[in-house]
Amino acid sequence: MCGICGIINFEDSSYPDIEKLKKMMQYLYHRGPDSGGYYRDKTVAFGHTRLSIIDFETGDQPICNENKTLWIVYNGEIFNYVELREELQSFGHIFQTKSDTEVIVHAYEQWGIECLNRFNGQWAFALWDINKREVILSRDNYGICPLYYTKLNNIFYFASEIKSIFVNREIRREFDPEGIKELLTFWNPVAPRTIFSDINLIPPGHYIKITKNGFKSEPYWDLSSHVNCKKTKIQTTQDKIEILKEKLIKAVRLRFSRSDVPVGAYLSGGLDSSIISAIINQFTSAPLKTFSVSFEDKDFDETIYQKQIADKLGTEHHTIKVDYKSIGEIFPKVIWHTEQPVLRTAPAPLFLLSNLVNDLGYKVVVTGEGSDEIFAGYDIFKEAKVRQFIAKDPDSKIRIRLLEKLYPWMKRNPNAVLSFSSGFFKKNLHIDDFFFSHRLRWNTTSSIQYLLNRDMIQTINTYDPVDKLLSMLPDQTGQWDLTAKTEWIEIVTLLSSYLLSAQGDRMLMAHGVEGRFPFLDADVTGYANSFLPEDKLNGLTEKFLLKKAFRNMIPEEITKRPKQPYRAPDAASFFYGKAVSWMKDILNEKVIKEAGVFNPKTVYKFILKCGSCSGLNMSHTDNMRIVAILSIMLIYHLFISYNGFEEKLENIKYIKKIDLLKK
Amino acid sequence: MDYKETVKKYIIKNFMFGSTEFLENFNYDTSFMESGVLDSTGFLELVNHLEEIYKIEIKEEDLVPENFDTIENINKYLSNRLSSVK
Repeated sequence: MCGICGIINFEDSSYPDIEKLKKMMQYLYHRGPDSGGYYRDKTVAFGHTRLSIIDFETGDQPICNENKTLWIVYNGEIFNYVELREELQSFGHIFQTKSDTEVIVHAYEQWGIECLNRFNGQWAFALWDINKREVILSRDNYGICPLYYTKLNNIFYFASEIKSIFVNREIRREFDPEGIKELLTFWNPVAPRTIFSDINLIPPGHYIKITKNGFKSEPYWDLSSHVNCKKTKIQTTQDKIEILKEKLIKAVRLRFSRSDVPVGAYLSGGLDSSIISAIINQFTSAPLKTFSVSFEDKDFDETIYQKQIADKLGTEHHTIKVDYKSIGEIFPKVIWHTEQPVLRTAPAPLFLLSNLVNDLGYKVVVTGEGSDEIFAGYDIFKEAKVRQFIAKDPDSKIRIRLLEKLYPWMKRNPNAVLSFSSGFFKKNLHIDDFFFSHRLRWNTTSSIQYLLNRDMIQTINTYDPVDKLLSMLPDQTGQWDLTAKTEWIEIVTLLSSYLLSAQGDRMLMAHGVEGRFPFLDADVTGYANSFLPEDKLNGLTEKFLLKKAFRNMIPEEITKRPKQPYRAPDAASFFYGKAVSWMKDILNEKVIKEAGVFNPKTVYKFILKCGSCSGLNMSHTDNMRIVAILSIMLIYHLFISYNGFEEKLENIKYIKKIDLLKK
Repeated sequence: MDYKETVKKYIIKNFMFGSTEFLENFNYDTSFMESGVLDSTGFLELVNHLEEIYKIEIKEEDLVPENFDTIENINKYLSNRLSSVK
């Protein structure tokens, strides 16, 4: 992947500032350390920092069409670019390069905006159509590649990362209170909203058209028809297993082979990454390097499973061992890259892991992201199903015992004491509620809001994030089954902005590593969504057909083990032994007041509580609380009061400089 | 003996960190579950605390919301338990 940024100014009185663009590019250096390039005319300035993966020789950007009327900067991979290129050549298009970037340019010439639905891949790009005098910004359908924008005084700015936009000091840097409330409900703001009031994120599956008259955001792809396809019983289970297997193998091979540099694989110890590694091993001839995180705290560690699969496949396996201290110390850097507050430290170990991958000379890894959403892998799918079952007869003593099956991995398992937890899980049993599956989680998360100061509470008091989500619901959801509803909520609220971004792209790209996600292949997701609910969650067995499809390729211990979500130690990372040293800089009363989010006295008392137990054995909400406080205050410290911008910048090696205004 | 104020102080200090701003009408009848003061693991923290402070063992069958979901309920439960100890 790469970094892209740009300035668009349709006013005749001034031109885009090239020095400003270069500065914006410098803040994207980590995304593309190999080289850089820019294009400028009277209206647009586009910048690109390159991580060279495909077509080293001629793939430098910006790239244009034959007659130089279309210019593009692009971050990502179109995995079917070879096939599209052949098709476009048959229409008479002439290619100057071997890159997938140029395929986008010609595809746009050929099919217009409809071309977006022909791409199978991950992308964020800006395309300047000089004849039509319009700029198109677009993002892939699941939101793998990031793209932010803002508009100030009729000048439009966009970039892969917010820090690049904030280089323009005149752009207001402040918290969006409604973004804070969404964070403290859903775990992150929902696109187009971000945590900053003046920065927007292009939602997954959308494009923006910018003209002299302004800009408009439109979807080119409909998630809802994907989540809730016509469920047919036409195919037999055996057919489904075979077809799914074929499609996933193809998706993995595409992602493994369409690269001019070697590709590695992340191995979590769970089912999804094991399947991917097994496919690479069996269906490609390349030797495989695998990479894993292991934890000193055994509650989080999955080394034993990682080793099992690595040994079976005979991969060259590399592990980075993470303890409390390494998470705590690295956390400010992690937040510099997530560019949003988080409620879990889980991104931090992945930041350390991509560093290891980079050190070993790798630029691309495949991972298992997306499978939990499309094959109903998360515990919340089961929790919802069990609660729906209980709702039909809440007083049944037998039904309630199913709660014991939930969360077997959880150390402080609330179901250890069934009679008590049943009271908790029996709340909000309104099965007609579209958000039935997530209400409990959102209520629990919302209690972090106790820490906010009086002004903030008053400001957000009347804003209801769930109402907003309700307004985003597609029409005719009445017939959707519970699994489809849960999947829609997971994808819209968490997949793109948290998992693929804060925990995905940002942690990878911090060290110039590109992630590829076979489970999010358009062909795989499209097919999986024609499954019946029981093909995904069968009884309480998650990923039912997926497991069947690949059971002969991976060790039984992996398919049979209880699902364990990837997590990292939270409060203990900051308080175990000695509290992390940077905490005092961001948690003093003066700074907390300045930031205007939290009540300093409340924070102080809560910090005392964390310190008194060294961050160990705290409740789930308390663990989220501490990560929320620290990450929100770090965002303030690094972005709003501008301290993060003092870091030393690397010089870009410019390969392509096209400045039409330079005399 | 009345345990309400002691329990209230503990709840505010330990689960609301001294601030009742978010819950304007926090009182003896406020449900911890409904108001989100406690999550399911928070209840275990509360129960551990009561066991420790009052030197009692709380049996599994007693762990129901009717005993612990409000300050009033905890007060009743403690009053019963501690009077029977004597």
